[in-house]
Amino acid sequence: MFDPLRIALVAEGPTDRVVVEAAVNAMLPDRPFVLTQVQPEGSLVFGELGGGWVGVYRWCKQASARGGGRLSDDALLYQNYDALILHVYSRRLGIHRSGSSQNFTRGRVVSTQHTAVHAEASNLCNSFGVFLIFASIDADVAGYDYAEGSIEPDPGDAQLPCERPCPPAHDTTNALRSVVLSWCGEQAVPKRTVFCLPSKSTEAWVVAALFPDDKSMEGHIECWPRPESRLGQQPKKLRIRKSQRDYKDRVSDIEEAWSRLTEPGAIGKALRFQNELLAELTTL
Amino acid sequence: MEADSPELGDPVLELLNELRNYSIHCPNTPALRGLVQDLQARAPVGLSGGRLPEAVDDLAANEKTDPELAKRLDQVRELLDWALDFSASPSMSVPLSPSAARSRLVSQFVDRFMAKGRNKLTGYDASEGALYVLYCAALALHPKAPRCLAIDNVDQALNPRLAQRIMQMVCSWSAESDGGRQWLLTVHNPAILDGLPLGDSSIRLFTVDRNNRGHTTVRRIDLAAATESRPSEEWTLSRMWTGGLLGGVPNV
Repeated sequence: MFDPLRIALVAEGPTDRVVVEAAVNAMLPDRPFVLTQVQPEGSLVFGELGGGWVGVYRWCKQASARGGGRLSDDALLYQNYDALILHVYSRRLGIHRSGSSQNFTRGRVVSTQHTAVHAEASNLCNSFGVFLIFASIDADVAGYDYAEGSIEPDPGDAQLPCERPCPPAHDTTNALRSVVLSWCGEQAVPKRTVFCLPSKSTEAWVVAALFPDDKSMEGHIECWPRPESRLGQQPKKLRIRKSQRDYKDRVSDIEEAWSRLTEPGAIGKALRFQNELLAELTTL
Repeated sequence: MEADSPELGDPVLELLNELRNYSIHCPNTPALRGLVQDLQARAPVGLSGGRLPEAVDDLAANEKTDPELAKRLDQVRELLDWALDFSASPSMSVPLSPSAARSRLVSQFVDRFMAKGRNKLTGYDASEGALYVLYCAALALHPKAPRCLAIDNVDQALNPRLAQRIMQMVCSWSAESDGGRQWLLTVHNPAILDGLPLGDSSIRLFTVDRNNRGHTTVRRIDLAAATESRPSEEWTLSRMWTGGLLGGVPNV
């Protein structure tokens, strides 16, 4: 009997947690874990509580302050968790180009290479009983500026907005990665920390998982301006709302579809998240 | 276990005896006030809070001959900043509503601010936090209290600062008691954590979570490395808990 992996998740909202948890479930089928969404401190009377990208910003600032200016020096966080997932998305980039050459690949072939990585990570976890910490942001943050979040940026905070034309989606998510790192006082992603940066929003992953035949999938779903709008544009029996309840009802479907999302050429940011998480596990 | 094993002596029997008396206490305000009967009677107090006045009466009697107990009861009095003293009185000697259930004794407090002669409050009227404090004191200090026990939601009805102080005292009394006592407590008030002297390895903090498969997981929070690397005054455990840094929080 091994201790479960302890994962801290910094995410914009509760529905993001449901999706990230389903993804990690799919990545680590043999490894129990406890995923806890961490939140910035705050009281409603002094301003909105920590939701959305502003909440992620505040959490990064508080955690790096605990670490004397760097997230990686936050001893309390890293002592109590094995991994941190930072999750942010970049919707307002939104220069959608239909007919992109990077079409979504349908089908359910699981890469044998990935399966081998899963097994290796799982074995390492089981051998050492290690934990892990993560963080998660949707890349729609890239389209905002600090003033929209009523934030007075610190001198070290990288510039927002940081949108780039999409496709390719990774131009924006890479730019956003640098922005979030600056919030954390870091030059590179710290150990035991994984960035989860869906392009536009996590709903791109949900649409790809649950509605592979949706019209948004004909182009490049990672560059579809508002993927969450597709959730309700489905046949009546299939449509869902962006709510914890609806997501939880479909969580096993998301989990089951994960291997399809992470095929090369499918959802690039999902694959990157998986690769980085599993790679981090192998170093523990 | 073999009865004639030379390794097994009194300590084992003592442990088994302690476990035999183990019980889970879950006090509630109506039982502490004596408004309802505690159906789970134990000595010195019932599992729901019954017989509190009798336990207080025992402590008050014992403190006359036990200076150490007197010192600890003074610490309890300091926790009730609005009260000068507490005691137990025959219920027939105090004015009570005819609708109140009457036990032989009632808890009584002397209010610091009310006019003399009209400054006595019974357990029916007093702040419920005061009753929970007395309940903890009875379990910690009464000679008949079980040595190994659990209290579910020990922090209910307590002001955060009061919760922190009572926890500090309970830990201190437990460490000083002859042979030691073991308490298992569940709490939901973050302030309680700030009163735990976790540098003492006999005081342990655990978080309870459910993992991704719905199984309950229990984990000890060990802050040794973190407290070495950071001055402790920069942090409060209560903030860490509410921020999710310790686990043991729902994802809401």
